[in-house]
Amino acid sequence: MGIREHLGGDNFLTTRLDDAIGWARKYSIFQYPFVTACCGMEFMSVACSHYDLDRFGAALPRFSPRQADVLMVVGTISHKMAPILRRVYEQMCEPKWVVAFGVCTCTGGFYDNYATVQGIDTIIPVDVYIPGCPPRPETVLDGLMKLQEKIHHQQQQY
Amino acid sequence: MSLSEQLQQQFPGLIEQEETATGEPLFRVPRNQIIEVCTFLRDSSSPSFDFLMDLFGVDCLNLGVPYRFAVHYNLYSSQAAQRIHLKIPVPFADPIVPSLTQVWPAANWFEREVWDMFGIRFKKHPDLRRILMYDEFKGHPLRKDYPYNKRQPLVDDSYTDREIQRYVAAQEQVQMPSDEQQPAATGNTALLEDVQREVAAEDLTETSFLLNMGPSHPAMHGVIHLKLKLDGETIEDVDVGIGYLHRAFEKESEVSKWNQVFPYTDRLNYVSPVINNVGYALAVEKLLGIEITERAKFLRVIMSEISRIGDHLTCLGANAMELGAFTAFLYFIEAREALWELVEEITGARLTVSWVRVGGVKADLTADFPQHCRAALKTVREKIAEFDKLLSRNRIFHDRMVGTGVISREKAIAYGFTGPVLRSTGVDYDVRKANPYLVYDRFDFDIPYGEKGDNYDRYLCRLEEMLQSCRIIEQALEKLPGGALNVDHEGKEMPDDILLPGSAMADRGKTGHTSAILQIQALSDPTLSGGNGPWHEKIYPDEKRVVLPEKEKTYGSIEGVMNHFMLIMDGHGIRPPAGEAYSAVEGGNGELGFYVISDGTDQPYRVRVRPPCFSLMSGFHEMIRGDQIADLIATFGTINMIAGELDR
Repeated sequence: MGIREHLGGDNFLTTRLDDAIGWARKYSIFQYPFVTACCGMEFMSVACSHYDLDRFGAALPRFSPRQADVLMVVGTISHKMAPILRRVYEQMCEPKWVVAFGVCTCTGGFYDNYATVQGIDTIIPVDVYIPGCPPRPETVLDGLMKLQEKIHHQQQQY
Repeated sequence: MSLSEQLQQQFPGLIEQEETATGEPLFRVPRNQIIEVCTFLRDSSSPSFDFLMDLFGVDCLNLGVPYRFAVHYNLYSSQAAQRIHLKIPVPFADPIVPSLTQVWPAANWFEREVWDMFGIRFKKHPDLRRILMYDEFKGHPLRKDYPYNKRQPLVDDSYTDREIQRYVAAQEQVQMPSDEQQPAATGNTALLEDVQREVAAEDLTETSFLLNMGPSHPAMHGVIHLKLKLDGETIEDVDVGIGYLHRAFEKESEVSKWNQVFPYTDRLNYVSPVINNVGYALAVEKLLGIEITERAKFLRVIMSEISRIGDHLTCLGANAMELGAFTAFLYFIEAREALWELVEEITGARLTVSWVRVGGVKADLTADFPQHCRAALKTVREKIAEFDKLLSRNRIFHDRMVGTGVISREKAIAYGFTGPVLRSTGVDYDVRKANPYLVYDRFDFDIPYGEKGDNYDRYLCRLEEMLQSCRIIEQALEKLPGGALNVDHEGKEMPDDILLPGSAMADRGKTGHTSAILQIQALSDPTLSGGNGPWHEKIYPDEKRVVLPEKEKTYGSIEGVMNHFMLIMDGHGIRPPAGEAYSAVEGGNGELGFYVISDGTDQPYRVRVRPPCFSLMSGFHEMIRGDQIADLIATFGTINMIAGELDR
């Protein structure tokens, strides 16, 4: 983040508090993998050594919503699953973000039928949409970096 | 004495044989006789049918038959490797059928599904509840008169604006409502009430209590809800709740064209998509009565086996991870990555490939494929050896796998188990050997099977199956038939310089060099799907009524355009003759069957999948009863439940 420009003397730097908190937050993402379907296979690939989500400080999955700050919704959400997704989202503490992983979570994908929710943004707010059926690991990493940018530059709550 | 004669002798005048395209016998049975007929077929007929493979409903509303519904039974004899299909007509006014649960416990879940999807009741069924849909759902979605996109949401969509949500939260904070005044939770209330009711119903002196696992639980592959009745840590009973990933595959198929179903099949068992593709394609080809080319058969085998290895790698890796062996998981995902790169090289996609077509496959192997494939198989073998060293004799792993999740051979058969879980009990049933499809009968491979039917045996079976799949792929690569590289649509071989860029073709025309111009095809951009010259021509049969022309032909000749139009445009398309066909392949988890019904139009009338996981999960309580909670994780891992296939 170009720390040198901000350095005053040798041993302190000035920045906005928002910026500093954002910087810290974007590299310590605790994600809740809400894995339901096929996208989970690609999520495994991203999380494992070959593509290595850990490089972005986002490798640690927390399966308790209260300890997580990014809800990764990975895979189709059916109407039967919808109340559970919302419940998990409600249990997460602020600040929290939601990633819609895969086209089913973005729009329902090609499942336009009685069973499927047409995009999770009809149930919970979404910060980053990652399209693809399933998205390639590169797309996922790109989406994650977009999310980091968003986390960094938003108005921070503290 | 033939089966039909035996049935006629036993039930004179009651059973009618129907003609099918498949060659497999289909009998129409009156519904009050179904229990007797099935008991006879199970115990006294020759051959005897020990498996109830599938049980499903059909809504015959548009088929022009005098009854509204039909319930189909698909029985299999492991002794004679033979199938038989039974069918009961069910009238609309009185949709009640006797339950088969007393003959085969496997019928329990299948009948619940038929009730859920069609509203057909089963007399004396022990537990006739909805299974895939939720209790609040009104109607039966697979009935033909239920609109395919009529949704019944459980949550409202007022949540979209985060600002509103914050505002509401702030308001609530100010008001500090007491517990009674709080609005009823929109979510999970049914589930909670369920738990409360059961807790309330429990005698306080009883020692057992109820524990919920799932639907969102880290060790549950996909989404499933287990209600465990516990005595301390010992599991007394379990109620499995499924349907959280119900995506209406069967309904979607009914509103798609025949070829459009392929992408949906990818997402059934999404760990091994090619196998699902192949299963569906074989069923439709059976209905059409076409034979695909040798090379296409070999390609399908190669890709299916690559898929199978990927499936087992994921299953075992995840299983190990859940037991604490994270390193092993990383090794296996690394090996899977090598295979996925192969898959991508051929199909263009890593996971959801939709690579098979009715009548062939989408694209041929690339020139370097055999070399890449051997290298990838070497990696896979190395990783398997490492995995084996890390785990098979590891004390912790051993302790958690040996003797847990045990199922006896008789119970496994009664519940219709197939695949590695059945083989671990000592039954060597594998569709690839028992009823060889494609060219599986030409390879030398073994079917590993276990003895005790516990988690450890299942683990070993899967490990060995991967090595056997490697053998199949290597043999297939060696025996891969060539075939003419360049064949026109009439089957005539063509000279090598027959492909020309479009501009060069136009130049020839302008300068009057038109003598052989009808033979020449335009060279299309390789980024077009299937483009890249003559590679894949040799994998299609000469069947213009089903096989899409290559992109070069579509863009380069009028015949190609017309052929393409007839197969793709609305109101045309592939039209299998009216009839029914069943075809089974060995999926990652067992027998994956497709029962397709055509009414002669360009859309399937009904596509029924026989998902192997469904039977496995219906017998899950038998495997886990008496074990500890921790054993549940190991057992769940070796069953390899895939929600896409389970819930469809």
